[in-house]
Amino acid sequence: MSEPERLRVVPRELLEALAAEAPAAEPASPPPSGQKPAAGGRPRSRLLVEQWLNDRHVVFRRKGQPDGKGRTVWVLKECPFDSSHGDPDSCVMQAPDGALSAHCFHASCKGRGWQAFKEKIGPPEAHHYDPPLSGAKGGRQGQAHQGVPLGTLLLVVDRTRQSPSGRLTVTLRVLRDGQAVDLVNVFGTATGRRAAGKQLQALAGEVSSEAVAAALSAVFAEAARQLDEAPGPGTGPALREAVRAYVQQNFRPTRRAAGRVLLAAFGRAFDRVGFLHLVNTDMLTAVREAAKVPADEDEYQLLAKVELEMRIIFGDLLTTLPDERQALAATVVGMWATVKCLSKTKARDGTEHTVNIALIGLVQQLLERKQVTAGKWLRVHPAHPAFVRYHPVLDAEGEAIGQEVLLAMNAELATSTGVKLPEGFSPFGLKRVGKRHGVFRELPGVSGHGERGKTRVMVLSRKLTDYLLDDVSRARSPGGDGGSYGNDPFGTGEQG
Amino acid sequence: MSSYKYVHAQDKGSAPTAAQVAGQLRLLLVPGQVVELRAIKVRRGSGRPHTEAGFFDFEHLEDMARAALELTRVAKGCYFTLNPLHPDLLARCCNRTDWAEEGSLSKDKDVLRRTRLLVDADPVRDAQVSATDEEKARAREVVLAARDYLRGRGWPDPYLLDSGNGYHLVYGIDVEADDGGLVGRVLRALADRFDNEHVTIDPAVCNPSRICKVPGTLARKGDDTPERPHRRARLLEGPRA
Repeated sequence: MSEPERLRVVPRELLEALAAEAPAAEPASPPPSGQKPAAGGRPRSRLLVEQWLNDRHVVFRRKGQPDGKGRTVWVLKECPFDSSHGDPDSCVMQAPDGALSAHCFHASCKGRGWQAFKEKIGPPEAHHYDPPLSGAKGGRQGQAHQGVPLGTLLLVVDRTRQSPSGRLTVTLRVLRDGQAVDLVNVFGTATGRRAAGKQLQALAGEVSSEAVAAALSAVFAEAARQLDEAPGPGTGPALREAVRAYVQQNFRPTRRAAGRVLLAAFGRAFDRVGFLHLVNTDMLTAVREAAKVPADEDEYQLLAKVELEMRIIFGDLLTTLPDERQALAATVVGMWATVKCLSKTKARDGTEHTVNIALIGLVQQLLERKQVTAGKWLRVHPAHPAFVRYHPVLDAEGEAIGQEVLLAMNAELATSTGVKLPEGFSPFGLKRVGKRHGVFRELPGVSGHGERGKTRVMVLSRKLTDYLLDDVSRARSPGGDGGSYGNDPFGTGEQG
Repeated sequence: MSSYKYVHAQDKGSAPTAAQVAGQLRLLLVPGQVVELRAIKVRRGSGRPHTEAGFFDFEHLEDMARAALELTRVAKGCYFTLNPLHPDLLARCCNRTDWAEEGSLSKDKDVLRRTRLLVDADPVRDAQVSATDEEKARAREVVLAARDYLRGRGWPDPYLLDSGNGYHLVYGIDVEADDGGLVGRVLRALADRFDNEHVTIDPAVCNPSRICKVPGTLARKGDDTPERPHRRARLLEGPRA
């Protein structure tokens, strides 16, 4: 048996000759940001990836850190092409300039990029862009809202409201054969939409969940349009006045109810606080009379409107009472400082802390009053405007102000509640005590914390709540202080 | 034109000796080159699947063959780099294998020069399972047709390898590592000509640090079923003197 010859080298010319016959390379997917590349110098729209994925019911998580090229990475729970390719195999990425890319690491998904992913998931619609694509905007403007059909139902956007923190709440009137059958509140959150989707599906019967999702998307687009055109929040001056008058004259919230409001404002999404339990038949009748609400106005609708007004009033109340302001500001800044400490402890999965948006909205308002530019302290997440991210490091000026306010709060706390603070106490100098949440225990007034999904929730101690409520009661100014809702509804409640 | 047929001492399925594998590796590689052995999805006991890899110089190919035959019992596949690697890589894991850490495997930039051109014909099937005999036979037809075609264009003979689930042709070339897409275009031209609904020539194997199954080791995609068995990669034919 003779030894085989070693390989001989294929001459380069032969390689080149064959290479010349290769079909043209597959067109590199056009620069993904090439979505309508800014005709006429219009600033290019940026895809709001999370909104889009949410609308398409794609489960994903955002990586805490951008990748090597600075792109934000959303890891999909399942590859759209093959559900066996789970987290972290496939992802959608967005470069800082908005350019999009997508990838699945599996060989069977090789060559599938952004264009393929986009088609498979379902191309984004105009309202998924910021600013919305102008092509669709033309259609959205001008015409009266005709409602969104869903099976035998017609969904009509009844009310749209954006909380100070930017969360969109839509009240839907659901019509069947022209008759209102229900009102549905949809929040601009995944949970809110899921809940609304279930409600609608129950009402509409055999409608597929995709159809419900599509209808909700359309509703949100319409709601966003209405919001753009609306002069401001509210449900009409007459109703607002009527509700305010009723609240001022008759409302006697218990201390517990007030505490709940306060806690909600601090620790939970203010939007989701239920005020319905405070609205009774008497109130509805009074408001109906005072505001000359048409008799055929749907009761549920009126209820929703009144509740909304209550939210606005209570929300304003919390942030406008002058004597309360300092305490609130102090508390909020103090809690902010706590969050800042916390933000140094990264979650195990590497996610950044995103903090309750209602809290942030409040912080922003308060800081603006103190002429602290919000931008210095907080920034809106570019890809997800519903969330605000903290600067990882507080600048020196911000820290100085926070420290000042916090110390003032501590001093007040010490005198009013008898809490003894150690000598030279500075919450900013706090070291973590043992466990990673130890810092809470050393911050007076904060008795605990919790976590809901990725939202950190703070719970104020009873002592601090009582203190703040006392302060609110003391701040009662019977003559009103002009401008704000000076006749505070809490003031008429029972005193300490 | 006839080819030199390798006579395998062993039946299909029984393991070759390390010396036999090393002998075949010496043919496939260029004397003096540094090569990486990479075993993917290594599973020992209940441990999690991982990659094990190591770098070997030409003098230690028998060690590498021994390691590969050892690893193939627990790995999904054992591969080696075709093109010569920078000798410094030897110091990463010298003539032995170990758990591979991130970045410890060879990359395109570690390749000195392209000395081998890999043509990979695979049956179209679920990527997670082994091929059936019928599917594999179709791949053989395609790869032989491609070899004949290239012979007709004056190309010298390649090595023909059974990769377990498909077939490889390995040609000798001498092209710089950064070839400006030359190899990719060659493979696309072949794919354009020979791809059919059952078999594809994969144009993605054009990168310089591409790995190729170690002859004598098992391709273990999916479960070993009579229909879709695990098979040993083999060097089948080489150029005749």
